Amino acid sequence: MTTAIPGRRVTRLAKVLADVGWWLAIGGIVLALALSFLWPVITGSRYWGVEIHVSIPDETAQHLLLLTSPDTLIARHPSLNGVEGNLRFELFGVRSILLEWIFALPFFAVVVLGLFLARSFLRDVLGRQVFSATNARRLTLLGWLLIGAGVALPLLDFLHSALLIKTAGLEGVPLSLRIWSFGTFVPGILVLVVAAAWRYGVELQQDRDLVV
Amino acid sequence: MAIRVNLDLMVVRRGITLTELAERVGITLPNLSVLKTNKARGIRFRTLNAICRELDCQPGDLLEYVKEELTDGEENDEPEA
Repeated sequence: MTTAIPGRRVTRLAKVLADVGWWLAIGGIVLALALSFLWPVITGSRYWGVEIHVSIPDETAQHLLLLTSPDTLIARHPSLNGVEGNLRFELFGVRSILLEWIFALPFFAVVVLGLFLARSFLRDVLGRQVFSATNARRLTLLGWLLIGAGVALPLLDFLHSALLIKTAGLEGVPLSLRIWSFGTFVPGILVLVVAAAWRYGVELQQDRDLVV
Repeated sequence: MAIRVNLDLMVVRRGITLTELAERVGITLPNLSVLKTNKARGIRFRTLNAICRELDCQPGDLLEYVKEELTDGEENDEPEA
């Protein structure tokens, strides 16, 4: 007799999304690699478009938008702060492509490994091998991967931007430095908590399997 | 585990095979093998009841407590006095 697994539809949907994400990522990497080599041929230009995150200092930003409040009793001292944006420019030569890949390679590695772990995990769950030691290990690895990506990728992005700025000779550009990425760091901690609960589930499953 | 299952001994005494016993008790042969090789973490009263019925024995004939030294890292399952 087989028992129905709760949330099977959601799991199946998650698996479809992970599969789509996986193939998009693979396709994206292949396309990016192909474009790296074919871009000069397609466009006839040896310039490569790059983009870096910059933050405008508050004292400069306040001059960008001069605001006055009509009624200082209701609101006063309006000022523009924390302005961030993307600085785009074109860089000449193969070196710019190599600099782009410095950041792209670790990013793609995180995406591919993360999606691979997610797909394997969801495949096993759909195949009714839910509380297995392998799945617990996958969740733990996924959690650490997300935490690592949350810390390493923003720093790598900063390094990548600094190298581009130096190569382009655009000294004095205020780069935007994020110490960590909230978007992956916190989910990573949550996944680690789920992994710990999963390990307990594995023990319970083994207990159940070995009760005759 | 300090509880030893003497199923193989009882099976030999009664002169039946494990396959036959599994069929009569209504559990799978791998599960009976888990029980026989002392790998089981527990036994249901329903299973114990069926085995005792088919082997015409008491639970004490099947289960035996063996005092053993705990190795490092092994949990003590015995309740505190």
